[in-house]
Amino acid sequence: MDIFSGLLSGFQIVFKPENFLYCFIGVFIGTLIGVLPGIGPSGAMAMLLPTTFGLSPASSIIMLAGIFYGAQYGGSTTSILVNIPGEASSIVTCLDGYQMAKQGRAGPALGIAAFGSLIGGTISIIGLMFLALPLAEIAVAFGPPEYFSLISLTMVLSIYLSQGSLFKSFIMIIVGLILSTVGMDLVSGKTRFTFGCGTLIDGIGLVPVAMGLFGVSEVLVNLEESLERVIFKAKIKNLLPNREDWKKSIGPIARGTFLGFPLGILPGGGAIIASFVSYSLEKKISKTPERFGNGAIEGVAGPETANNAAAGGSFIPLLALGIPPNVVMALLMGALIIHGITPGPLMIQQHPEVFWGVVASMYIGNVMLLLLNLPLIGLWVKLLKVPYRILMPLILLFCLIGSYSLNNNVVEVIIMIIFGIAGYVLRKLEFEAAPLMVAFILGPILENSWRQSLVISSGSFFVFLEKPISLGALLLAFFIIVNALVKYYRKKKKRLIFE
Amino acid sequence: MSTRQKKLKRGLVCMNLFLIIILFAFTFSWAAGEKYPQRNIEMIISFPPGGPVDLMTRILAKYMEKEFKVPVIPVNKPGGGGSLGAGIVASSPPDGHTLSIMVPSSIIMPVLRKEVNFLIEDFKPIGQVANPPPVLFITYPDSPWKTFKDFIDYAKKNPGIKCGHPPITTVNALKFMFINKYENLKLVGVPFKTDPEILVAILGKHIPVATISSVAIKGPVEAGKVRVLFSFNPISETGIKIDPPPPDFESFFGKKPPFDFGFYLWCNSKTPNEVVEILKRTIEKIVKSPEYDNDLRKIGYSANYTDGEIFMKNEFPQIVNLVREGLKEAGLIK
Amino acid sequence: MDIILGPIGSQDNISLILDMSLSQIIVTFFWIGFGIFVMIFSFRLGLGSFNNPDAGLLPFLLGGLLSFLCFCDLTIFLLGKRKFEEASKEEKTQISYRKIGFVIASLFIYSFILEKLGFVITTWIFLILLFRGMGNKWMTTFAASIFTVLATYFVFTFFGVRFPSGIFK
Repeated sequence: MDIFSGLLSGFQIVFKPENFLYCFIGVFIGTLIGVLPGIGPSGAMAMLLPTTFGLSPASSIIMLAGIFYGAQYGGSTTSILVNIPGEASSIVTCLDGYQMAKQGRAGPALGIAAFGSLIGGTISIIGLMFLALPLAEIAVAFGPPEYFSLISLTMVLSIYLSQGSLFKSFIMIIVGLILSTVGMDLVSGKTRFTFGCGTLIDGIGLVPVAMGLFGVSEVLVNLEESLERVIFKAKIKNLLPNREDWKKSIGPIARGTFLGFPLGILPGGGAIIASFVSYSLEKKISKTPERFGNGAIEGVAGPETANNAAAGGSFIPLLALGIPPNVVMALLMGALIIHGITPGPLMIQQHPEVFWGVVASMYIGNVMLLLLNLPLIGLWVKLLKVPYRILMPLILLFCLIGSYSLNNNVVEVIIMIIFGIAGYVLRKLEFEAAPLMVAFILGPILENSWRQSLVISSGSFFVFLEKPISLGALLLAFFIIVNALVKYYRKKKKRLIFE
Repeated sequence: MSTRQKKLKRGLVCMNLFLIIILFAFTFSWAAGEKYPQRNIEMIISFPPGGPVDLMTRILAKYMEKEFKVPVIPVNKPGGGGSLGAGIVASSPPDGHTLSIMVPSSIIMPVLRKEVNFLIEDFKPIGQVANPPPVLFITYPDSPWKTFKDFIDYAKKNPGIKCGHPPITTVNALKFMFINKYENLKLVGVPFKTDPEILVAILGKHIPVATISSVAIKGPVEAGKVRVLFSFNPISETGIKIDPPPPDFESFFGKKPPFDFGFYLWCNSKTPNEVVEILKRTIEKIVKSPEYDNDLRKIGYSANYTDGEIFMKNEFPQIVNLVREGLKEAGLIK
Repeated sequence: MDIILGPIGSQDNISLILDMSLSQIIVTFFWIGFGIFVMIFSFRLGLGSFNNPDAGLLPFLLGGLLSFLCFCDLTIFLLGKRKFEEASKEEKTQISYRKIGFVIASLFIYSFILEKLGFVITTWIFLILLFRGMGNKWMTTFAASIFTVLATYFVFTFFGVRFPSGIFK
């Protein structure tokens, strides 16, 4: 069945009243889930899974998939409004999105995030349609050495996430990497730095750390000021991005899409890596990089587009090969299996209605999400006008419930509080949280792929240079470092001349 | 503050307290009677949603709800390689309302590694609910080994072949270590965090062979993207159709695998006997029904029932020893 | 070329190591100590070799790098190459550490009591403490607390979150 007739049949399936409804329910719940802290899309999908038993396979996947990419939309909302990342892929959005909110520009930030997500999501679906099979082949070309080099490249790029002292960012990266080693080591099975605490066996949780470092620390910083000072500028300027905003955002959106889509295909990090890389790239390319971290709309447009594009891309390994690249896809795979469909290379042939139905529903879903989110912007913006003395305890409660609800584990709440305090102290001392988060998230993949590569190569370090993709990524990383150092020395020389 | 304001304030405080009390009424559950089950049953899933154990639990929960006529609620508590969930069962009130489907190694391993406070004696198996997780030995389609025998012969002559496997705390990894030691294959294990990662590594030919659970590769196998050399349990138990079927342990080695543990439903060991008996009868009825088996086959498993007590007496001690040996071998305990 | 060789930090201050104030020095010592702590514990885990790393190798190297870099930083400072900055006293007096401390304490208390008293009571107490602490009037405090407890309880329970019942089992 060729692509257009397939797509047409897909739309026919989606426009059946019940499927249309399920799509809407899915994206609606997904948005709520993205906004609410702690509960992630996989939790919601797991809960709704039993209700899908009685539905047709296409219907259940349509709904469950809707929850997934709906959550990507919702996650940016809390990042922008209260500096609490709803999803790991929305952490970067906090950097500039929240600053924009503080400047009274929450509306445009939310708006550009919504539009960027639509564009990124839609284009990635087109990619999914045409390129699913060939791209899936590329995905499997990434083995441990390639992953190591790719993540190394990402980490080098993440230096650009920071505004201030390079040295301090580097310290943060090291600390982030150290924190990521807590837990059971994959290769040897030994537990590191757990000190008898059962919760730490799987490592320090990402959500408590993110909420603490970003959300709680922000609250603590705000407490310093006397209450008379308004945290959010009372005068909200516009509700939507203006022409100037669009001009600045077109580039990041385009780049974010083409960056995010292939990265989403790779098992293991997809949307998160895409958002980091997009932010770093935009900052590097920008003629005015000093605006980043102070409310540059490119810092919202790029990453938000990238993470939705990556979400679309992450369907490819599942639908084309039967390999789920992340936990959410694994759940979808479970849902498919329960309905008697085996995801794999044969799925498109055996069950075209599922494949095309889902693809078509993703188009519709993205549009629904835009229509849902845009009017909500007015609501969110009104929320910010609530006096901080009322808002602040609510924000904290939000964080507390969020970190508890993950695993019903009080230890994670305590971890969040500790990181909140740490985040506050670090900010006073002019250390930045973003590089630490990147290193913390990517650390395990980096270390594991490094050690797996060494096992596979029987101890030879040349394995990283022998494989073309790996070599390419490492060279690029090296090039970036060298350039940065050259630039530094040139500037320093210039300064000395002036002195 | 004037008297009126004071009264208002007092009234508000009372109203607050009153409302709080009403809310308590919601969270407070009345004992419906003496018969089990008196309230919702919780099924603890020690793994993340979407995985095979998760799906299996949800299927069983569906049937249990029909039989017991109370909500049977699956709750995901992943963590610690399964030990977090186990810990919850061990510390829950021993009234049979907190249950969990686990493989014995989930309990044994963390205890032997002294990572948890619970003891093996804190648990009691009610009955088996599914056959052992099917573990397959796979390779890529155009690999030089067409049969398991080819592979074994080659491996013995060329020590150090890399074989991918899931994390050491899993049953599948234990099976890999066992076969490696038993047949003296001198394979070098490459650990991966999840089954899909192993699959990608095989498809991309980054590793020559791997052990993996059947659930993860059903699709690719049937599409011819993966070749199955060997199956720990008969391939017919997995629901995957391969022609000709690869050898299983018994047919290849001529004897039963020395350890094999299926999935059992566990409860707190202090649960009263009457409750355990009720659970046993119900579970036996469910597991032996053809609908349940059908549902399991959809997710790549198959149903099989054995009584928990018999298991505890006969096979369980052996399993503890075997796991202990396996951990020693891996250098994780002394 | 400038597009590729863009600047890293947005500030014009491109010195690797900023001028130090007392708190900065303390932090540097802290990192050195942290790094050494990590090194000690990683060493115990076993380092393996470079070709065959064991669990402790990476944290050991990282801890070492951390301590080393901060040590260098400190040394350069002590050798007098840079200025010692007095922390602005004015800044200190305006910051209300009491409020921050109060909030932190409330957070910790929340997490300790949560499973003992249950979600409803704990959240109620917490909210009353914080709302009042932020200077709201009693009426607002009670109204907002009760409303929030109810709202969060029902919304989150709808999404399947299970709250501890504490003393109401």
